[in-house]
Amino acid sequence: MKEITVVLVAEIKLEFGRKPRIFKSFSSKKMPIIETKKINKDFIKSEYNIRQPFKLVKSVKPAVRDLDVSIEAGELVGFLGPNGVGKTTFLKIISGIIHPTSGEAKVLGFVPWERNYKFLRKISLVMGQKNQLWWDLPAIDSFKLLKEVYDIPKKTYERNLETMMGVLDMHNLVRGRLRNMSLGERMKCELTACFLHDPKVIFLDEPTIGLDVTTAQSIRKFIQTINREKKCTIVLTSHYMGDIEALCKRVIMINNGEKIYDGDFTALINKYAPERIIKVTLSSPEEKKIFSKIKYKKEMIEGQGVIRAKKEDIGQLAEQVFDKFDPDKISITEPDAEEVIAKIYRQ
Amino acid sequence: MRYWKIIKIIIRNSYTRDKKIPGVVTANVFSSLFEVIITLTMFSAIFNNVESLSGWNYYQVVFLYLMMKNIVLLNGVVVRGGLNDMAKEYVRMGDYDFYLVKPVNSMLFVSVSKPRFYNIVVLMFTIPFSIWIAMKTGIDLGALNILAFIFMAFFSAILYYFLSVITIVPTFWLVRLFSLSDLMNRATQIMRYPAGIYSMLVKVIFFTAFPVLAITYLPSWTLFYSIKAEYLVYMVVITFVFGWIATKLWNIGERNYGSASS
Amino acid sequence: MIKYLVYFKVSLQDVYAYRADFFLFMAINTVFFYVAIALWSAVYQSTGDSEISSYTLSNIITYYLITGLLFRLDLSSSMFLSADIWGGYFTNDYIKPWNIVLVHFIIVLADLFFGMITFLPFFVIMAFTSFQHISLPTFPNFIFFIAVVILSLIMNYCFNLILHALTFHYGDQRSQIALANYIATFLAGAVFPISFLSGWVRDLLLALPFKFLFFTPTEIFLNKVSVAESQVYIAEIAIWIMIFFGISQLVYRTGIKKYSGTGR
Repeated sequence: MKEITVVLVAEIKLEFGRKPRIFKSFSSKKMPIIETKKINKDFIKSEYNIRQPFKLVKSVKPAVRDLDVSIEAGELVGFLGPNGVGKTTFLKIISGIIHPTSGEAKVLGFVPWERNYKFLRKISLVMGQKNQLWWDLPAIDSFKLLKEVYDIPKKTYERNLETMMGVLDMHNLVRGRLRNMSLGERMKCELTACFLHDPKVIFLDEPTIGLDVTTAQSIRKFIQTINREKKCTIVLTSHYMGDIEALCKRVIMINNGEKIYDGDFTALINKYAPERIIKVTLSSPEEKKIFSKIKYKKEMIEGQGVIRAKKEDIGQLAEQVFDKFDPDKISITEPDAEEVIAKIYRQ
Repeated sequence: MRYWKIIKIIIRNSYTRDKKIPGVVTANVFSSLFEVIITLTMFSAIFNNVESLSGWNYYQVVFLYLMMKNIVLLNGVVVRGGLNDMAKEYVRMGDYDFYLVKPVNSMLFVSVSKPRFYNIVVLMFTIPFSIWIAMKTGIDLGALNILAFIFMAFFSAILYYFLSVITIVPTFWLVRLFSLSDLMNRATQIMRYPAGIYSMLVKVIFFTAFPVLAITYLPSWTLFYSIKAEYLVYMVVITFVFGWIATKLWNIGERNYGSASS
Repeated sequence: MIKYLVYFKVSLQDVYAYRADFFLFMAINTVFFYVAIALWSAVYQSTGDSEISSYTLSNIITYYLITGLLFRLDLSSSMFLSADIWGGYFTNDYIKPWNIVLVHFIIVLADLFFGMITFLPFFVIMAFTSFQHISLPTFPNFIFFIAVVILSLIMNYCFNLILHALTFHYGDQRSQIALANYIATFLAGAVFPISFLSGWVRDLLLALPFKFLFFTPTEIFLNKVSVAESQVYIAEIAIWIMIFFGISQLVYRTGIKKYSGTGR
């Protein structure tokens, strides 16, 4: 991409007490807000072996290997992968919780594990399986503590709290004790706590884990709204396809600590499963006989005829099928994303 | 200022939580007070047979014990709970992650995360009792001695905190260390008696390398006997030294922190 | 029966996972013994008498050595029934085809067993560093010592079962249990021998069953109790076991009907 640079030469006034107007350069090439280079993380375990009494036996488990990632401001990126591949470990490295074994990273211009307070004020972390709020207290008391921790001005705090309570429908919840809430209600409180200080980068580690369908949908809708309105960068790890499909235009697939794909989610599905699936409900032996005469690779699964058609063949196949069968009995769908991802990991 | 506001909110939250569990608070208050009663009973049994213990009379020995108790309770109000949970849970369960992503000093934030408000209730007994015991010693307590004692006691409380931090730092490497949270409890057994009962080697170790004896003995000695400039200076210096060591070790430990599976 | 043995093995493995913690805990707990030696040496030096309440310096040091060992049989940090009931984890055990009381006893035994094994090296070090002060028991007294220790462990478990089962009725009892065990430890003579007290306080403590946890076994070890008296003590412990077990079953059975399995 050609870089278009517009330079405005401003008059520099060096009068006493006035700050000089500086050169401004506008570039259409954005600086990544998160950038990592060859991040590696090994977990070393020392064990005592009675056969080697004077030596601790060390075993090394690589969790993340040579991970290069670049994320622009405002993106909502999903890290996808089965359990134990290094998604959360990577998330913890770029949020500054753990140090990498080697490699570099910059988030908002800071090295995360140096834990500069200016950096920490601009990020937020939510973990689906853990609570940061006080278990035995009303959520509002925890929010007040966070207000002081992040030095949130009173008006900003009240405005953000009111917004979150409205979007997440939490007015009746905030004064209840966390231990008496359901998992979905606790997650709503955790998300509220996460956004009180207007963070620029939010790390969400499996935020919908264990939630029912309705609550998970409302959480996803909330994340989309926040990303759109506040233009914050969201990094999401999940092994739920529902989260990724609903939220992420871009996914980064991790396997055994390595990046195996980084790009558009739809393109990923199209690349690995370019076909379309035609399903026909066959309720009589005559219909089954008609279906068997279709000249294309097909199969019968539980009373349904299934054809996996390549994109270029879909047109003429659809014509054939609609000619022979009642349209109410026909469905044409894209391949199930979960199956596609599973297929990729099996390969 | 910000840390003061944070501590205030945490203590207020602790009070809100504790007042909902009066059974727990009462049990803990009674445990503390009962320990005082048991120890005084033991001292009575000892002093039925002796006039003094290493030159300290009954009331002086009781005062020394109560000073230890007050220092421990003061720490217990603010920092002990958080440090215990750090040793037992935070690293093991990965809950320490949330402390690392906040723009506050993680060592202080963890320390104040679980105040035990009910310790203030116990202090309301032990502090007046200590004052009464000090007056019963029969020693003329000068105003300067009292001021010097208060000055040194302030540093004693902080030194006890830094030593507590040092004892739980190995948690970063060994994940769960309930034992090390108990180390300071064991140290209080050393702190409660006059230093004269110990051998020279023990005294050297516990006045310097792990200065628990300095926490109670030096201030009490200053109150009952004479003000020595070297004692005053020593208290301030070792507090700063161990504060530096605690902070340094904590930062090294953080670099080694590996979180936990989610 | 096999499932309980397997559970014992699994519980032991669970405890073994944090062996560094255990090892360090045992090492740290030797402090009490050495502080006691320093204190009582100073006391006996000051008094000039060779005996205090019929205890010589050797007796008192042996007393603290043995009570240090018996502290490893303290249930308060090994029993989690109350926490399980309060936290809802009790449900996992309740739906399994086994006797929960026995299962929790096995968990306790595994923890205490591992504690004992880990403590033994330190016990040897403590005995070795103070050997000139250690008095040894006669063989019959040693047998009675072992018997009383085992029976008092069962008695203590039954007593704690009552306290833990109260969780069904009154909610979280962990602090109350800790307080009760703390008081029982004092009443048992763990801090100093009950003989050092006088009057009605001593008589009351000697009448209560808690003396069997520390004071009585140690007195047997110190040969201060005859064989005949030891036999009487064993009968007494057996009665207390029956009483505590009966009450615990009552509290437990009425409590289980109220269990709702809520918590995390």
